[in-house]
Amino acid sequence: MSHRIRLLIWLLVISPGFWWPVTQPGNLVKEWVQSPAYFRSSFANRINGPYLDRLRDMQWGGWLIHRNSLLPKLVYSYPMLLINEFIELVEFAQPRMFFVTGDGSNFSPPSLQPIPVVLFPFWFIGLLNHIKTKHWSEFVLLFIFTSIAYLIGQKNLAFLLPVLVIYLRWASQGLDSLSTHKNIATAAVSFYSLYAALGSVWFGFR
Amino acid sequence: MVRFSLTISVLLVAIFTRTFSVGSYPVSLTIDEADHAYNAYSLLHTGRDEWGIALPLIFKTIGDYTPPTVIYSMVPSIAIFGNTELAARLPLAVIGSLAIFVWYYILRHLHFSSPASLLAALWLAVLPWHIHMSRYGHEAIAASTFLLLGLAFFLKSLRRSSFLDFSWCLTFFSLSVWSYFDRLFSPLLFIVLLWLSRDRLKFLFSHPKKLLLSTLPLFIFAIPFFYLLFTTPAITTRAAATSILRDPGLSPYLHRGSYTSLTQKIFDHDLYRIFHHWAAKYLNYFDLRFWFWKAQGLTLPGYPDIGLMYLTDLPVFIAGVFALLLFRGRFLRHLILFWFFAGPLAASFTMNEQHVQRSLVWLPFFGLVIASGFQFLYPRFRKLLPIGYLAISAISLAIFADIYFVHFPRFYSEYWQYGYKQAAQYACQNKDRYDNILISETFGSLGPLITGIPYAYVLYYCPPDPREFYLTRQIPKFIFRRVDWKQDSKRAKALLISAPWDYVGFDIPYSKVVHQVDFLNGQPGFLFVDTSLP
Repeated sequence: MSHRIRLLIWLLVISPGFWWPVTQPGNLVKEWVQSPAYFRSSFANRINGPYLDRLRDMQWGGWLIHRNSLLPKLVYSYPMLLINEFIELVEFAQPRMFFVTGDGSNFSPPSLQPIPVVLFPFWFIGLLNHIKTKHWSEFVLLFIFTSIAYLIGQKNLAFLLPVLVIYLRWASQGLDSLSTHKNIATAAVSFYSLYAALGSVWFGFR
Repeated sequence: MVRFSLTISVLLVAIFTRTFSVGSYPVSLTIDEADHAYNAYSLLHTGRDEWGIALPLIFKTIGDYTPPTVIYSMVPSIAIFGNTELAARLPLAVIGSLAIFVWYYILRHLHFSSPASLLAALWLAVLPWHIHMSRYGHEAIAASTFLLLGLAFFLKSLRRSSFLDFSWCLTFFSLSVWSYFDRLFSPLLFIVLLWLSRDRLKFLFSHPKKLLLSTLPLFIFAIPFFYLLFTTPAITTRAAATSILRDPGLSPYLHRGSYTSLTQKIFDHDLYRIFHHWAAKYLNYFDLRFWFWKAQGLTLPGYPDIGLMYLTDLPVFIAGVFALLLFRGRFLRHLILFWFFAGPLAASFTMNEQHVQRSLVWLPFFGLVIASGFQFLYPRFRKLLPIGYLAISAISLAIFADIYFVHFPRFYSEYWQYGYKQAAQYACQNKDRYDNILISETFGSLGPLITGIPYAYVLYYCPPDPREFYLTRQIPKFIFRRVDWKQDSKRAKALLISAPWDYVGFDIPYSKVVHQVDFLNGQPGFLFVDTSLP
């Protein structure tokens, strides 16, 4: 087993965001079983949601302006809805949720970090390394898993667990690419994670 | 010659986008703008601010202590244009426009090609983030331009081994701090620049006397700063007012030393809480939606808005990241990396989420990545890129203009204190007819949700004798508080300017309402009630 894989496994072990879904297989399966229903409701909400009404409001400029020209009709229309949906999709992979806030569901209680936030700089270095070396396969996987969660309309770790694993992989690569003080950095990250994890247990029993 | 003409054209675009109808959009002066402008007016006529302090180093204003640069820059403008919105906003609009020229100069010094630098200057000229900040007189825009000037002179001093340029660099970095006290980023950037260029700065130590002389501006600006810091509440007040420790999402959960058990002290320590809360705020800035889609808050939540940049900048941005990783030199890469992480640092220590003004210091990071993108793309799409980018920028600018001039006023006129100018002007024209004029500090189309400072508008649009004002802190005849109809209706000759819901439950004869100001969403904003009428 290579050093990088060992490091990734270690980061998985010390990340609460990995353990919360894994230790609740019942709830996890329940969420997955509900996926078709989630999908139908999410789809209906997207194509007939309030955003379209707001676009129409922008088109005619409200009751006071009440315009009827071609340009606003072209601008505030379905392409803008599509772009907005694309941005919504990207939001499913926003680092803030994975590193600090969690999703607020049973799979990641609020105010506890799914991935220890001290890994964020290493995640960023790993991300840059991936772009630099043109390893696009993980970006494709990231897009696929994010899209699945987006289509289902559930921004929680039951569906975004693979994204969390990809992020941890990038963080492990970032950590591994340090030329000096690699062991000290790993030990510091582990110490912080242990503290956060014990804190999580303490909060649970309180 | 062609390059010169193109540079001037970009500069003209920047001036146009920042000054076109600047007096009318945003639809009203903010409280800060009105108050800063009155202080400049008072300075012009008496040499003292609204509190009677002669040529102050820092302005107490409405109690939040404003750095001096912006207010002093308004003095000539008010002397020329009078007490108008244009006079209050023009200086910063011009300073903001100047940034585009400085930006082009910086990029050339960082060895970006001329076409890439020009395209990146055009990017800044039409950037919604920078345009909006330049148009409404926020001091962050001055700080940002001075920061860029400091960087430009630093690069120039490196290239020419010039002490004079180094001295200018220190002057502008100091002015940046003196323009916006949240801008502690400037000293940090200066230290990083020194570190990154340490090998090329050896010339500074070749002439100790010259070095001492060139660092003189630093002392000239730093000594009064530290004097104010340690002897007055001027600088700490502002920092404390916006501190993350006052955030409603954090403050109630802090134990402030009173822990119930040792385990609580270990696992729920205030330091951990603060760190966790700060980390959430900090990472919130690394958000593509904020960067490219929704940031400015020009429309109501859920409506289409504009990001820090246009969405159409995204492909150039991605190309820039790619180019930086593969091609650019160590100095630039490290500088950009520093800017990327440090840019939102100061903003994340304050109360608000994703604060557009406080993160303005982050702008050069995006600019450098965009310039790298143009540098990468231009040789590959030599003919298509300039025309394509120009066309896309024009479309993006048109959409921004539609949101800015059509939707922003109708959605947010009341949040920009629309109505106080009209109230002040009406009251000023008719003040001889009344014994008292009462203007409410609370208003809003949906109820008493917005609080303003109407006296700042009366001071600016209906200025009393500044000497009399700073001696008495009173404006004759004016009272600023909510209307209490039971009591105030007994006043014989009074003009009451207040929101319609202040009269709910009372039967006011319509004949008493002499004037009305509506918000730009069509909702009634202020009723002007004359108590002397039957």
